[in-house]
Amino acid sequence: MDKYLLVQATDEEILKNAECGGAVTALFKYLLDKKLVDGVLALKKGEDIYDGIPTFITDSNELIKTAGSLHCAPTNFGKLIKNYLADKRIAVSVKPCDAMAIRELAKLKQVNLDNIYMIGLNCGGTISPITAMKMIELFYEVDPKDVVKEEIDKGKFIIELKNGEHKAIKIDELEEKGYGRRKNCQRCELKIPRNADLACGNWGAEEGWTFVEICSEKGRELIENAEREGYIKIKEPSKKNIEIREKIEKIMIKLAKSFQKKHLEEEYPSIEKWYEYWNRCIKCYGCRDACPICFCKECRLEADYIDENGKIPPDPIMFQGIRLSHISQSCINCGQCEDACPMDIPLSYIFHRMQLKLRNIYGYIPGVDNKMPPLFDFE
Amino acid sequence: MKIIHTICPCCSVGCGVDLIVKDNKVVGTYPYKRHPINEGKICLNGKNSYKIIYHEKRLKKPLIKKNGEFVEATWDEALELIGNKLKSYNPEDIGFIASGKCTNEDNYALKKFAEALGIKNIGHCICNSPKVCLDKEIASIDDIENAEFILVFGDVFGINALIGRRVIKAKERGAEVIAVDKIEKEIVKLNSDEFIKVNDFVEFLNNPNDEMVKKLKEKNSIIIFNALTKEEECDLAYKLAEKTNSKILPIAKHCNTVGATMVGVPALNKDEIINLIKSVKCLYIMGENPALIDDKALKNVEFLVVQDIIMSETAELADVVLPSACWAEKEGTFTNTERKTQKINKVVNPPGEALEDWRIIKNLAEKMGIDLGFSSIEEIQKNF
Ligand SMILES: Cc1cc2nc3c(=O)[nH]c(=O)nc-3n(C[C@H](O)[C@H](O)[C@H](O)COP(=O)(O)OP(=O)(O)OC[C@H]3O[C@@H](n4cnc5c(N)ncnc54)[C@H](O)[C@@H]3O)c2cc1C
Ligand code: SF4
Ligand code: SF4
Ligand code: SF4
Ligand code: SF4
Repeated sequence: MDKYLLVQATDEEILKNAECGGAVTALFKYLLDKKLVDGVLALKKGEDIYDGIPTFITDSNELIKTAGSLHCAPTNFGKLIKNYLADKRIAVSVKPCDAMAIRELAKLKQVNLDNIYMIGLNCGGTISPITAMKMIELFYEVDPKDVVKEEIDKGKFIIELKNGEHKAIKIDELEEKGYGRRKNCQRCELKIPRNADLACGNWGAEEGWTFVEICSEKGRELIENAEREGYIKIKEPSKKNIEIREKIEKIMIKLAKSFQKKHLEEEYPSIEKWYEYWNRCIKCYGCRDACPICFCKECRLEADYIDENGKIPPDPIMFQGIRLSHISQSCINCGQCEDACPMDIPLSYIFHRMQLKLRNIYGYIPGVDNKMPPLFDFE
Repeated sequence: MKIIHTICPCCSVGCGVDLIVKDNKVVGTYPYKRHPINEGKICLNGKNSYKIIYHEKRLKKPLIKKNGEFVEATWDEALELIGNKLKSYNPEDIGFIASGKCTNEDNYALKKFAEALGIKNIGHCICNSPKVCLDKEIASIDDIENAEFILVFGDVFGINALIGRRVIKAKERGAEVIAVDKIEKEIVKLNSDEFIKVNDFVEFLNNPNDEMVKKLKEKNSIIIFNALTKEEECDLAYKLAEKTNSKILPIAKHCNTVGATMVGVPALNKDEIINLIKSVKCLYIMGENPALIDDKALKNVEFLVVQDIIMSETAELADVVLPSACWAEKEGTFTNTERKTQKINKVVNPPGEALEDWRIIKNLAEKMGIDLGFSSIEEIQKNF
């Protein structure tokens, strides 16, 4: 079997509700039906397309609720698995940053990869839900609640309205004006999750099919077995389509690098600005709690001598400094810290920048490399 | 594992928060990023909000005090006793205290019950917090972000952090922020362009300096306060806003302080609550803990009923204690400080025999032969 495949679900219902060929949902169904996993962790649509709620599904009839992509749902599954599902055999839909988090947690023995099927989704980026709604009102001039579907294609954010009408605007334009994808996603250079078992996407796919790249032996077996059991159909992608996919990936990585330069060098906040940011900190621990790779059982930040009886703002050298020293080597730039910060401090700028500096020295890419983070590497 | 949307019960901002449930137990919070008020961001109080569900003093059964000791009772016994007592007093000698920590539906039920019994001594406790004037127009939380000049009375960063965030957002867009307070706090001083320490808000509001008034007038401005608590202070703030054509947003105390007021239960400040307690012989308290401000007055009450989620300082003094469901254990609505009504969700079952506040009141009324006209949340909601 080749590394690249086009995959389609055989179940009509799945195919109808899925984003592309329904490969992801069909594989989940196979795993649940054959009892190869205890449950599936994926996203279900809550109130509307801006509301993605992590859901753990144990009955394969309920999987249909999770089919389809939600681009306005910047979740990360790493910590949920570590905290609440570590004792289960699961399958999970992972964006590259989800897969990175899970891999880092596995190295630190917080989760066991033998118990996890990572079905990867290529990722061009996520948009914060409220930002997306404001953006749709402002630039598309429609009621965000009338949008029934959204997708990112050929550099455009496209919305489909209740009445079937489509509207598209270039992401560049939106991002210039401060909207569009989250800042960390703009800088994210892992677009195809080869760190998962499979990488699924629409790049290079044909209408009604999911383009799948096999990334591990476990992934290959899964595809073979699911096909044998009649859950999926497989065909070969054309050479041209494989090339198109490669080309888009390259463009996206280049774009991410230019955003890294922009955010982390050209526009990087001055030291004065950072002090202004730290002055806002209300020590809510939101950044720590949201960080998928923060794992210490007894967090130093809650030690009395650092907590200073709840004094706010905390001393940034102590508070942020400790987190920076614990985390930056493994920061996967998922943006969860920044998303959680009630004071809108651009936290992932500092962590991502430090990681990239360490990457230059040690060559360590968190969430992708199999070795231990450099400061834990005793070899 | 399951993740369920609800609303934070810890202050009047009304942030959305997700609760994580595992094995029928709430084990943590999760960011509710789709929520328009806070986009998934919460303060420390919000993060810890779920812990109350498993508070060690949670009440699980009705309790009747006999010879100074609480003895477990059945709902029947407890409601029978309360019903008979309520019948034995004149309505003027009975007082009801409702709560901004309970839902609109709970407050509506208690108000209805008071009306049915002809009880006029009713109110909910706003402690030391702004009294909300329902006849005045107020700004929305979104308005803060678009302001060019912000005048804040009190600390919104530490106390109502997700309001603080909007002030910061406005500042990032170039707004000027002046903070006024009686207490100096580091976080407020560091995040405002000017901090004015005052001894008396009335004095300050009576002679606002010209430059400030000019800015309020000329710019798109907003006055925010959580520290103005006396009626006079609030009135002066409203007048200043009117005079300068500024927007105004008072930040109420509890998650449903504004809702309880809108349902028609009068908002009473600390002194007014103490006066109410002193003026009655029989008192029924739902979800409030006035013992923290004055336990002497409570001790003089002849017959005290407390309906609460935990054995509070006030419940300790009661003759009968009724166990109620907390916010994560019931359906209903909260109305936040900008008067937005939001649905909360039942996430887990209440402990032991605890019931929703509105249901306890309905059952008690039934025991007394009174039909309050509703038997579900939906029926209550039709009425307000
Ligand atoms: C935010 C996002 C951005 C994407 N960007 C690209 C891209 O640029 N290029 C590309 O080729 N492909 C991209 N994809 C992948 C693509 O949209 C499809 O998900 C993929 O092709 C699988 O299609 P399917 O029909 O097999 O999946 P389906 O059978 O529809 O299953 C999709 C699965 O993904 C889960 N899911 C949905 N949203 C999320 C989310 N935000 N986080 C985690 N899991 C989620 C669903 O719950 C479901 O289990 C993106 C997906 C997402 C979620
Ligand atoms: S950080 Fe990367 S993988 Fe994660 S959502 Fe953003 S673009 Fe996708
Ligand atoms: S520091 Fe922030 S960006 Fe980095 S891994 Fe943690 S949450 Fe993600
Ligand atoms: S989330 Fe923001 S405010 Fe909260 S502790 Fe972290 S930096 Fe401080
Ligand atoms: S600001 Fe208020 S409503 Fe929001 S999380 Fe904090 S306590 Fe809860």
